[in-house]
Amino acid sequence: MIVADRKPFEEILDILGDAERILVSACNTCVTVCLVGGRREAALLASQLRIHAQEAGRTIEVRENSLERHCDREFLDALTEDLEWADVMLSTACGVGVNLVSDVNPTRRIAPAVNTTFLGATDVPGRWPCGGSQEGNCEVDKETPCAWQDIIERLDGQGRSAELEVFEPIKDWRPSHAGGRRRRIVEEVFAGDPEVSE
Amino acid sequence: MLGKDAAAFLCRNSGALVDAETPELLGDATRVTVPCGGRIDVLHLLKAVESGARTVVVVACHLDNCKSLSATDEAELRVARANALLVEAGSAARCAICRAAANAPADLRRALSEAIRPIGNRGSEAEEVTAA
Repeated sequence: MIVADRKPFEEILDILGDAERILVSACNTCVTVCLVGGRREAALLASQLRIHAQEAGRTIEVRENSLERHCDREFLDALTEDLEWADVMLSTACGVGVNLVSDVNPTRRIAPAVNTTFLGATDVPGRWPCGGSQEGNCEVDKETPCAWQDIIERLDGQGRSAELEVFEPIKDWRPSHAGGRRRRIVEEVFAGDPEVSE
Repeated sequence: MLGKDAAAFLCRNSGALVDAETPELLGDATRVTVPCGGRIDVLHLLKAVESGARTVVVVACHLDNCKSLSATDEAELRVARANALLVEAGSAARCAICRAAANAPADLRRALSEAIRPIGNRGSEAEEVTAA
């Protein structure tokens, strides 16, 4: 998944400038999993913006919405009405999503609310590793062991380090979607059902 | 005693029971009873501030007197996060957590006093709770 960090609030305020109608749009995919840009985090940002405006004596309107993915055109139609209303849309999606929404809506002002950082898998909730290591630890966070280094050490320990030098054959994609419609029938479940076994 | 510009989220196993016996401790605060202090989210705290609260108090169980292993710890972390977000947003409103037990109103009195004093020092209108 794509991992991101929320931009500092001051930077977000600079981006917004004098905008009075602000749409905060969350993405329900990667940034939701890494707890940065899902509906909950978007709601927190929207609340912060309202509180900041109250303190400053400004009147703003903040709407919130969310899409399954900002990086997929088929979901972007749902933004149309809110985008027409808003002076600016703050997207809590990753850079891919922000770029696509901007491409599809070239006349609207779309701004990122997060900094896209790296690709990572979920190690434990709240901790996401990535590539690049020094002395066995992550380049980004010296406290995080490098997953790739762990693989090398594990293979070394098992006397299998030579396997790292072996070229892997090209993956056979024929069983995937490229091979056409797939069907798997568990015979003992559908035994005697002519419609299924045909 | 808390004023009208305060909101209190009360765990029904502790805070709400103390409040039922000694309502003067929370004064004019708007009360919200919740199933557990650990159910309070950062967003609930910010929404209370959005609604006009300058002091938001979560009254949850003591660590060793809670039906949940981690609820009070989680509530404390969320209060801290809410305060960090409020500071970022330039708000003088603050959140605090107080631990209480149904049979010990003095604990809540003391906890409120300790929790609200630093809020008062930051400019809130909340008054320091004094012993009855």
